[in-house]
Parts: sequence; C-alpha cells; structure tokens
Amino acid sequence: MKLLFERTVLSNGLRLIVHNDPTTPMVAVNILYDVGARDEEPERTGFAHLFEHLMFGGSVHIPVYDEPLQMAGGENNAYTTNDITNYYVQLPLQNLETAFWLESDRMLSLAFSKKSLDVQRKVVSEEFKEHYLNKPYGDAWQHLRSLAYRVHPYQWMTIGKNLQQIEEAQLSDVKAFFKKHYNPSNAILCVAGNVTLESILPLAEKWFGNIPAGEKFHRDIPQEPRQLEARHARLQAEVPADALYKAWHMPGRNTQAYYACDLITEIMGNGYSSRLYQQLVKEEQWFSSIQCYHTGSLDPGLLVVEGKLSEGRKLEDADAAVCTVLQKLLDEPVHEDELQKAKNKIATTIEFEDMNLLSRANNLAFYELLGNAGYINEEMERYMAVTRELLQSTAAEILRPENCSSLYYEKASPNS
Amino acid sequence: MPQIDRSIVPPIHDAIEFEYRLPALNSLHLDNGIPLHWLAAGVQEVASVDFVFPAGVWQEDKHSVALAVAGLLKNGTSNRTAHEVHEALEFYGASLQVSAGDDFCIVSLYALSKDLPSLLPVVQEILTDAQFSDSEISIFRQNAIQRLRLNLRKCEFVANQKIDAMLWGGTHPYGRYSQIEKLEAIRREDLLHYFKKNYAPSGLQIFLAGRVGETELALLNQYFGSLPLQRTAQTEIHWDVPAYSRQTQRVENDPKGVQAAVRIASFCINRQSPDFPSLVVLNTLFGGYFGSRLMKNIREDKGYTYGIYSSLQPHIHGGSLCIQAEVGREVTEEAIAEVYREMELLRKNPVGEEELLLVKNYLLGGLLGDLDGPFQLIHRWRTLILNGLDAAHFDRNISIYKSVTPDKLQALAQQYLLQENFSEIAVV
Repeated sequence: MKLLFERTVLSNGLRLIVHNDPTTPMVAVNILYDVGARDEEPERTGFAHLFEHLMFGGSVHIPVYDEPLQMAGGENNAYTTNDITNYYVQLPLQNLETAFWLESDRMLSLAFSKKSLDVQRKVVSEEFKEHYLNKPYGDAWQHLRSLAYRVHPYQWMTIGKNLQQIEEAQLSDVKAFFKKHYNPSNAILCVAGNVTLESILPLAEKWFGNIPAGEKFHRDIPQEPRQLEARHARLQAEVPADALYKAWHMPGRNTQAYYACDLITEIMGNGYSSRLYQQLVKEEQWFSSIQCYHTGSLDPGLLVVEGKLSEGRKLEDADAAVCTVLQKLLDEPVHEDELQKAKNKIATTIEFEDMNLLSRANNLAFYELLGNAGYINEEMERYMAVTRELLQSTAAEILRPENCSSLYYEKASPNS
Repeated sequence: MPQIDRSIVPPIHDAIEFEYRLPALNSLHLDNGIPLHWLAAGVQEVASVDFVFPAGVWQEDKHSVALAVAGLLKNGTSNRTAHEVHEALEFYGASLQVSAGDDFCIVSLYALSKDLPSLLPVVQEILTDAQFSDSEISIFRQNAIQRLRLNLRKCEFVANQKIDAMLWGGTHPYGRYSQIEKLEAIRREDLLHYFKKNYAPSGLQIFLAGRVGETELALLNQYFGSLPLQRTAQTEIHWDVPAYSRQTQRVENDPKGVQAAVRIASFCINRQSPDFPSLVVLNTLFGGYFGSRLMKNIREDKGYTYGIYSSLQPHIHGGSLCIQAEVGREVTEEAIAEVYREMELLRKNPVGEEELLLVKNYLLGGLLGDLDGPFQLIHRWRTLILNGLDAAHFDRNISIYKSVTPDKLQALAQQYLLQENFSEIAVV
C-alpha cells in the first residue's frame, strides 16, 4: 500500500516529513540525526552511541527528558548504528506539543551535565559488558569488522573498539560532538498520525524554526579499496562450539545490486526452506544453526554467513561446505519460484512493518536520508526488478574468494 | 519569529481522562463446535490466526515433551516432508510460529489475507497430522542440546532457570527447565502421545484478526469446522507447589565473567485476583518502566547496570513477581541491597501524588497505543478469554488504573514487596 506524506524544509535546513494516518489515536515523532559510528575518530570510537545516552541527561531548559514525556502518556527510545542516530517518541495525539518541546530543546542545546556523563559512561560500560564481553562469541563482530575493513570506519562496532575509549570521554568531547552533528541541517523530523503538514508546520516553526542552522557537516570518509586477497583469522575462546563467520564486501544502500544482495540473503538464509539451512543443517548436518544476512549499511557493507558447527565437524570442512552451496548460485540461475518466494517474503515484511506507526515514521525519515522519502513507495519495484540473471551476476561479483574475510572462532580446549 | 519561553511545559491532557474502549469481539462456533473469536480491523491487507491448544508444560507428563512437540510440529506430515511443509508456508512469505508456554501452546499464522486459501489447508494438515519422524527428532535433539550448551554459558539464562526452580521447585511446570539429559531422553512415542492428547481439535480455540470477513470465516469453517471432535472428559491436572522458604544463592558460572545476572522473585497473584490491576500500577512504578524507582536509582543514579526491571508473571495457576538485571560483577551486592531498599521505601512511605499521576498517565498513554491495531486488540482479547475474563474485566482494570490511591499502593507494597518473601540469585 502506498504511503502518503507531505514534505518541507524549514529555513534552518531541518527537513520535515508529515504522514497522515487518520485511524490512530497516537502520534509518532521521529528525529533522525545524520551521524553514526562511521563519523567517529579512530581514538574516540563508541562516541556517537555514548552521546545518544547523553541526549537523555537534560537539555538547556529541561532538566529531565523522560518525566514530562511520561506525564504526557508518551514513550520513547533511541538507537545508534554505524550510519545514523535515531530518536523516537510515541504519545497520544492530544499531547503532541510535549514531544516538540522536548525534542527542540535538546536540538537547541544540552545541559552538558558532568553527573550525566559520569553515570552514562558507566551505563554504557555495562552495556558493552552485557552484549560484547560477557556473551559467548560477543567479540566476534569486532574481529570480523577489523578483518574486512582496513580503511573505512566500519572497522569498529557502534559500541566502540574497547571500554577504555568510552571511559576516557570528556565533557569537552561531548560539546564538540554536539556542535558538529546535532543541528537542524543534519536532522530529519518525521511526524506520523492524524496530522497534516498544515497542522504540523506551525508547531515545527514555533519550536524548531529559531534553532540556529549551525554549520553543515560535510562527511569525508575514506572508502574501502577493493579487497584483492582472501583474508583469514582464527581466534580461540571458551565457547561451547566452533563458529564460522564469512563476510564479503557488497555494494552500498543506494545501488540496484543492494537489492539483489538482499534477495540473495533471503534465498540463502531466511527461513527453514532456505538453501543453507536445508542443506547444511538438515541434510548434511554441518551446522546446528546457520544464518545469512547483510549489514544493510549506507556505505558498502558486508554480506555474511554465520554458523555454529555441529559437534565433531571441522571448521575447514564446514567452510568448504558453505562454499559449495554458495557456488550453486554462481553456476546456475535460481529457480523462478525461489526468486518469487524471496520477493513474496519481502512484500509480506513490508506490509507487516507498515502496520506499525513508529516504523512508518522511522522508515520515512530513513528514506529521506537516502535522498527522498518517496523512495519508500518504490522499494517493492526495486526488488521486483531484480531478475534471475542480475541475481546470478551479482552473486558472481560479490561471492568471490578474494572478496571474502573468514573468521574461525574456535572452542578452546578446557586446559589451554 | 516570536521568541518562546522554553522553560514552560506545554499544557497536557492527562491520559487518565481519556476513554479506553476495547472494540467488541465476535464469537461463533464452527460447524463442529470449535470456538472462533474474530475481529476485523486495520488497513493493511494482513491477517493473523492463532490456534490455541491446552498444550503447555502444565499438560506434560514427561519433561521437555511440550517443547519438543512445538519445535517439531512443522517438520513433516504423512504427505509432506519438513522441507515441503516449510516451502508451502514460506513461499507466501507467511510465518507460522509455534510457542509452547507454561499453560498453552499458541500456533500463530501471520500472512497476507489473500494467501489464506493456500495456507490454511497446510496449517490444518500440520495440526492434525504432524509425524515427528525419528530422523527429525534426532536433528532437533542434537541442535537443541547444542543451543542449550550455548545458553548455559550465559549468566542470565542460568539465572532465569534457577530462580524459577528456586520458587516453584524443579518438577512443577512453572519451575521446570531444560536439561541436556531430558532432551536426550526424547522419544517419538512420547511426542505422538502428547500431540494426540493435547492438540486434539476438541481443545482448540481459534482467534482471527486483521482485514478479514465472511470469506475468511468460511475458510476456517471449511478446514477446521469439519474436523471430527471427540469430546472426552478433561481431567483436571494438579501440581503441588512447594512450601516457600527464602533462598539466596551466589553462583560462579564463568570465573572470568564481568557481570552478574541478578534475579529476585516471590510468589504473587495472577489476573483473577481483584488486586492485580492495582499491583500492575505498583509494579510499573517500582520497576516496570524506564522511569521506575529501580531504574532511576540503580541505572541512572549509580550506573550499576544497563537496565533493571521488575515484572509480574501471571500464570493460569498462580503467579510471581521477578526483578532482573545484569550488573557489574563488583557491585552485585550493592545492587541487590538497593532493590530491597526500594521495596522498603514503598512499604514505609506512600508514593507522591505527582509520581503516581505520572505512572498512571504513562501506563494509560501506552495502553492507548496498545489498543491501536488488529493484532494488539486480538492479543488483549485472547488473554482475557484464556483467563476466563471478559470485557467488563477490562473496563474495571481501566477504572482502577485511573483511580488507585497512594494508600492502596502502600498496602500492596506491605503485602507483596516483603524482602522475606523473595528468593534471590546472582550468577556470574
């Protein structure tokens, strides 16, 4: 179903998208800042995400963010990726202005509280431990990223390279980061609910209109050179089973080949009828579980196969088994039904995602970042346009051995 | 552009003043008597169909069987291999999720409405003719054991297992947990026996929601209204709950672990109790949302954790209240002490009117969002019906959320937030 929206840009550069849904009593307010972990300095990694936490530590006129929103019956959260930082609020339509008041004040300026920085450094350290240190395989992605990327800042995770860099963050870093990235020209505001541009624009002007435009940030990220040799790394840890990670460089978000890659991951890894699951988990039992996915990043990302080996299997052999299944994609075009299945899955996913108001608001802001919120309505056509031939040629281009980084994550023997 | 005074909070409408209406549910019986509840709502062309069976852990007479049956349900019938079943469902982008809970098993089909004519016969085949072949069982067993080994390395998984067992005992369905030996002991005849007995159409209830109407009702009647029903007298199953005694445990699961998974739990009331909605408000304030007492103190003030929550866990036959957090290893004892201190504060002092209003507004504002969309609505109705409750109960809950007083919450805290009634564990 086509999503309708209206769009304008305020004089300070803030992009505004309004999506009308007359059926809901709620309203979603999404603010996307065009800054992510890829914009960090190599010695200050994890900062974009730490900063996201600090955005809740009070703004220039409002000591606490959460309480007034909760009083208005609202709920909010935020997330940081390698590309973006996204903040969202959902609340009853009657109280919409509370969201404008809160979000505009923290775009204007933060309180830059020392206490907030001290506490959030600890909170983020605990988050780091919970997800990346205190979990089996929790550090695999750190190794995989640094193996696959030599130049591009995708070589580190959003959470950061290590705890130390987070612990060293200073208030002066926080202020500089805010000035550089958190201004209207670097943000996209999307409002979804029983609203129109006519009803929203006065509010947007009132609360956001007089925030100074700031200096437009120009991104200059070194792009990753073409990988010319297969890369391998091994590491050992106390994990219950060996695990295999293989990553191939793939094209960025705004390319047609991206859609082909997305369909390849569907065919290879999504669901119990997917090729890797059927052949390597069910028929040949090389793996107890296997996934195929991609990082979905704006700059050229990674297409990944990740699996936990069945007991008694060797990493080298399981790796070869994966390559054999992948090779079939290169040798013969996929069956028409199989491509149709992948497209059907995507169509269903889109339809279900669109049920959710927040997800619509978030997606519209994201497509606006890609160049035009209207892309959201062209998405399915882009998938439909992928032919068996394009799929095959994309597979041939991406799944080359010399484009691949392989990580063997080995189970350490108890005595070593 | 006129300057605005940003220090002034824009006026709000209190969510406690709003009206909350649960749209009526339609109920009918298929030709053979199977109850079907349905609700047409939403704009996307999608549907959900929940098939609910009394097939939880509660009905198990052998350990791990409910889980294994649920895990293997889609893996083959007399006519189709596992792969063919998956193909038949996945071709349409549909998902069929099988979740065996403590009291029920819910099989949920999510699909585009237009694909139901192709999908429902497959679902019917699965639900009446699942085969549980030995080769499928063997792969399932092997992979489930490996998954369990992985999970047993995670402190939070171990803590979840142990806290339930501390409270309910290891044989009671609510305290039972996955074990490698039990998975190894899974046998086909046990699965078939459990499946025939507990997935019998006589126990089935169906819940349908989305862009649906007469066509979908007729389809459900075609595929499920014609199943032969053998009404057998259901024997009431009873499990003994062990007498409570406070237990505390400290477990070192990983000598190099940098965090401890803390779980603190007590027996508590379930949805049938008249105090339940008031306790929902108290629990929210205590640890049920981001602005809760626990979160403010232990995360936002002390930085001991990335997140701490308390939650009510109402079952059909009882309930519990559990506080959970992953905390820095070196501050484990401090974090636990703070949890009890927050309980004590709620017992000693009535909560402030302002804080209570905030919690009510938050809870009700969120509820307004929860009532938005067909799947949310049918889910709410399903919970009511499976607990033997009705729309009047929903209305009563709302009125209590709006009106519950600080005195009432304090009385509840004195009853339900007593340290001596909680068992605790910290797993590193």
